[in-house]
Amino acid sequence: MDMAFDAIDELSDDALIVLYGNGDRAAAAALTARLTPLVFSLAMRMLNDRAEAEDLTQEAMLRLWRMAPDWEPGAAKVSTWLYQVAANLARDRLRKRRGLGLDEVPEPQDDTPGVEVAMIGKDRAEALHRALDRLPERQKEAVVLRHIEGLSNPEIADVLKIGVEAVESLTSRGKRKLKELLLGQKQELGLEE
Amino acid sequence: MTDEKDTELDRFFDAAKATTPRPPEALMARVLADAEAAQPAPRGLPMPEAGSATGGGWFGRWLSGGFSGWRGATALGVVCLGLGLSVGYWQPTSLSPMTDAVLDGTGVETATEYLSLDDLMSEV
Repeated sequence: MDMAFDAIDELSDDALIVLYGNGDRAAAAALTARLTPLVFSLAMRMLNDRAEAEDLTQEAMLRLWRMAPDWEPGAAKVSTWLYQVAANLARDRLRKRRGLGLDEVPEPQDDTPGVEVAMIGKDRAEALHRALDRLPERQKEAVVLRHIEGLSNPEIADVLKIGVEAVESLTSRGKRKLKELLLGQKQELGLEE
Repeated sequence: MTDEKDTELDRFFDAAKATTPRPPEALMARVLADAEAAQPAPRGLPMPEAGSATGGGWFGRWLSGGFSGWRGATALGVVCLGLGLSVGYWQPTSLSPMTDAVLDGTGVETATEYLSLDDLMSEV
């Protein structure tokens, strides 16, 4: 028998995966509602392309459903596992994108300095995403996971399969580069308040 | 200076967090459809197979399966033969008075004298 929605919302991801593997339909709906936004957010930050982010999200979630019957509770965090899958898929797509001919590459958004932009939140966010696209792949992943998605350094270490010190180094270098890109050109970009 | 720059950069991060992209409803529906399609069948108590009139367990399976065939009948015959021979060989003591009375010719009547209705009545 399926669990009631209000009761199921109290359960951990781990417990929901087990319930899903046992055929509980309410668990399928709860996991979809809980985890899809996480994957989609990361995909959008990494790819900066809505259609590709949707494809990636569906693919990552499909891998979760297929893995569920073999899930070992307590072995790992479901969200960390999912971030790992999403980051790998995003990396593959970014590499394919780089391999495309110039005519096939999506037109980059205009980041020409000197455009007079009122620095409301949306513009700041867009400027950050453009700057993130100019970081090396791993730095971008580490910075997005740490400073936007809010993961801890040990969680990022699990996602990227590197040590905690390496995560700290990546985020530190990434932030330094972002400061150069965003703050060094603030006046030119019309970002001075 | 570094702190100032960190604060400035944090404003960009805060702006990005505030504009978290939300997945469209159509994507949520596709993901849920995938989930339901890939989901294993619910696990409950094992249901008896269709057409099976008996319950579970080896006796039920034996009754519904092997017992109805020639193998079952042969097995049953062997078991009965063995049981009969063993009863004949190890004579049950509870039958001895009756058997002895028949075999030594004193008859059933003599044997029944061991305990008559009058005896029972007089003891009440």
